[in-house]
Amino acid sequence: MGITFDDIADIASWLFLVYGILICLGYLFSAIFSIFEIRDYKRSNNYRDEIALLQASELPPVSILAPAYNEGLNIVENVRSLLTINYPNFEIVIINDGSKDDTMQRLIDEYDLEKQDYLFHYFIKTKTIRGVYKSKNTAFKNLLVIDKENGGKADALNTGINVCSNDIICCIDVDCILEYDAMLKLIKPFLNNRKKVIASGGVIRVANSCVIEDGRILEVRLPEKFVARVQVIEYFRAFLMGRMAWSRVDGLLLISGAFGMFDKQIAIEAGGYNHNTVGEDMELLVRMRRMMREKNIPYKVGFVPDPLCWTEVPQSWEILKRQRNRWTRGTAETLLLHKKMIFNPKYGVLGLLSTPFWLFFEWMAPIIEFSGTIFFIFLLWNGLISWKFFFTFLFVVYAFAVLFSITALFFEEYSFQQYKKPKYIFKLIGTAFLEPIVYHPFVMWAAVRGNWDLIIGKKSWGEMTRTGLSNSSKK
Amino acid sequence: MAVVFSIDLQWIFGYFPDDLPFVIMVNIMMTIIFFVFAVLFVGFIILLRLYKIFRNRKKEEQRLLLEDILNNFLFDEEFDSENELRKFRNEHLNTPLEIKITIKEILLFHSNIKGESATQLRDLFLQWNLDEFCKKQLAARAWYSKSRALFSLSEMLILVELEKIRPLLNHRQDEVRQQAQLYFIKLAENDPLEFLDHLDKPLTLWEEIFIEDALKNEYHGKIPDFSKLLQASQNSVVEFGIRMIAKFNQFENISELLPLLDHNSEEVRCEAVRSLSALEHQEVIDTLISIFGKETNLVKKTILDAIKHLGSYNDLIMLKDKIQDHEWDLKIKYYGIAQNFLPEQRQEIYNQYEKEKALLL
Amino acid sequence: MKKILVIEDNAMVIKSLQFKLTKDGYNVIIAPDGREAMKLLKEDEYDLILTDLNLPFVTGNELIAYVKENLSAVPIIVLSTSTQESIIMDAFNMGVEDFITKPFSPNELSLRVRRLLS
Repeated sequence: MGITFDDIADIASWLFLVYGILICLGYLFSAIFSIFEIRDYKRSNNYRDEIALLQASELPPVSILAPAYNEGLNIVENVRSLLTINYPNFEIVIINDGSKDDTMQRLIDEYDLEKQDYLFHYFIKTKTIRGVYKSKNTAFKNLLVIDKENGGKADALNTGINVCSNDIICCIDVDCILEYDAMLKLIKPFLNNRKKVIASGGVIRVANSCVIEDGRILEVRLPEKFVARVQVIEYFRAFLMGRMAWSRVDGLLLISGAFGMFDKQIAIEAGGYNHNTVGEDMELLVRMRRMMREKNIPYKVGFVPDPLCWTEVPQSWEILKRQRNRWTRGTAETLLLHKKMIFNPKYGVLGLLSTPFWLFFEWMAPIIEFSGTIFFIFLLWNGLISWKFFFTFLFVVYAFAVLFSITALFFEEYSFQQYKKPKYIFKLIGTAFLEPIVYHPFVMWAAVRGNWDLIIGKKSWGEMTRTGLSNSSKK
Repeated sequence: MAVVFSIDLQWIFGYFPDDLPFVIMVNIMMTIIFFVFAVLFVGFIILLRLYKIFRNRKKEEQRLLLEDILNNFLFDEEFDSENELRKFRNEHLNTPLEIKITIKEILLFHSNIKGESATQLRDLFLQWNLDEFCKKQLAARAWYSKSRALFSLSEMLILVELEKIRPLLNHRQDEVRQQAQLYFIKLAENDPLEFLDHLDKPLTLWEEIFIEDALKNEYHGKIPDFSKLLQASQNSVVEFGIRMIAKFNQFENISELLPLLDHNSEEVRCEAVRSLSALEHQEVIDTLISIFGKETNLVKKTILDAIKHLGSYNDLIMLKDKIQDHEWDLKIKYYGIAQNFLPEQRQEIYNQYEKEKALLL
Repeated sequence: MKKILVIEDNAMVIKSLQFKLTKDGYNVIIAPDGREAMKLLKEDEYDLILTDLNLPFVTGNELIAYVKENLSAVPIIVLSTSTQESIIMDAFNMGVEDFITKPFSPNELSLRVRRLLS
């Protein structure tokens, strides 16, 4: 009995160790790839003012799709700031997803909307559209408002895809704040590629505590709350190290739902957003990429390293917990739906690198970490390992986590340096040291709970619960 | 190798108490290594910050000085140009950073103005010998130096041996390729697009936007006959040629466009339809109607747009039966155009669409 | 002294316009964005407005519409990078007096301003 148990403990220890080393290597490689990508990007900035030329050129028209659910409070201002987007040819499509408040009425009043007999077709099956509205005022001639029955974010976006008139769509959260030239930068991958571009995404930044006026960032400030501040570092890691590296090897799996551009036809062919998952943004891109691969059409997913879009992150632990719970379920559902791709050489980088990475390091990391911790405590409890062992192991992990965050801070400092005040940098460094102790266990726990909820079949969006989902599956 | 490794380890582990298990020693070592790196990076961050602060301050100072002197130089007749400019050159054009900022500012300024003031700026650029700096940069190994130098030289219309530039047209970095293309256009006396024959990769839309802009705003010779591009081996060049024929109103090339409606590339056919429409070539309507049925979805859409622009409701209805039951995007377009032609029948047309929808679904 | 309101977000262009127009003997007031311009227009009177079309906060078109409705006597010159026919036509249809495309010739601009103000 004793021997067998020791053996198991031994094997488990080694497995954890191997896993840890793999993670370290993965991070090391992503750091290396990222630094090259950032460097090249910085170098490609010429003396030329490209923006001025672009806003005067004939760029492909874009439909900007923004779903709104119970946004009555801010919808008027949000739409106003969308209307001043700097792009030569665009249409704003607001999709009112059956709000229970006065979202729709406010839009009608403010923008002089009038219901129109609008020609459209349900290319993707969605909830019923109650009406399509346009403004009587020509100053708002590029505004389109769709009033539909509630069906969730994915369903709302699909409705937008069905009704909008341009071939490139830009999906955006109605309350996020765009940089002035965000659209002009996001379109660039579509223009500057020799392969078919199916989507492009940019960098998302944390807007909490920033000085915002009329939908524009006037001054970048570091969030005052610790919870939000940690997420600044998380976003640095995710965007400056993670996605930057993935984009270099063409293995991007996720374009943020807050701000991304897609080729409409490809999105429709792939079936649109899946309303059966809470991770609809990730799932769509994976499905689009998979389809292109299966059809054997060379394609590309673009990534723009500039900070383009600022979004409010959860300031309270409770909302953060729900968000992470949802992210975990989204990841798991997406991987499950596309399990065929994992380790499948037919899908190239996606099959051999991206999906396994997501499986092991994004989805399973919290689970393995959690069980590892339990296992360690168990061993410790039974006197099978020493305190020394336990603590030194903890220190390694801690030191690595700090190192990784500091590296991300360094990348930010090297590239965009958005936090100008010197005190911000010290605060961020301090946050990096605190994160593994105070914040990380919490999000790990939220992720574990997310998996648990997934297993017991809970599918809600938490706070933003969006009605019972119809289970009509596609494909 | 293995021997060295084990010796090294023993030397390091010598510092640990003997009774510590191997794993713990490794743990402690790794912790120390990670922390040392973390501290190093913190150091880097602070250094980088100080460096950037210094550099930005310097940049801002130089920028303000330049703004002043350039505006005075251009717009103030009483300004003692000769002395002031010489003084600036002696005092503020010594380090590479100062020179780079000056080049950048002059270029930005130059990009906003034209006419006599623009010429004056170019004279100043030469007077300060900034062209020499750019030429040196052009010879540098780093691609980003090359691309910036190319841009500066072309903006300021400074001639370098073209044989030095030609290889850069197919440089491995897109930025360099693009700047080389623009260099050829801006400095060409005639035949600005001759370089297109030498490209080994297709043009991107991005490059085409810049080429078009350079042709319109920076090239001063005679606008070339774009029909020559229609014979190019690369489809992207053909497409570009088709588009430019319309953009520059080369009606004389309409006859060259017509055969392209049978081209084997979908994109080329689309461009041809678009350009014929933009050139108001109404005679093409019948052809468009006749080819509609066998075309791809993309070309069909383009044809519908062309009918909207060139044709009448009577032309449009000729297409009605050629739209198949499942082609909803075309139907929407079709009825939309119908509403456009007959605004007073908006409602009836909408009802007709709804009826068709009800029938088919 | 005639008063000109310049609405423009490019610092370099602002500086040059200010310099040149001041030299020409005008009182030049700068608004870096559409919102600031609206505020200034409500507070004071101007003899001419020189505006860009791509502006932060309030678009150039909204601004033009406001001026034409409430201050119809004030001439507007648009200074824009747009060379697209439709945009230029829209501007003239809204009643602007002149349209200058960037890159612009400062001497020419100065002449057009003088013509509108005499």
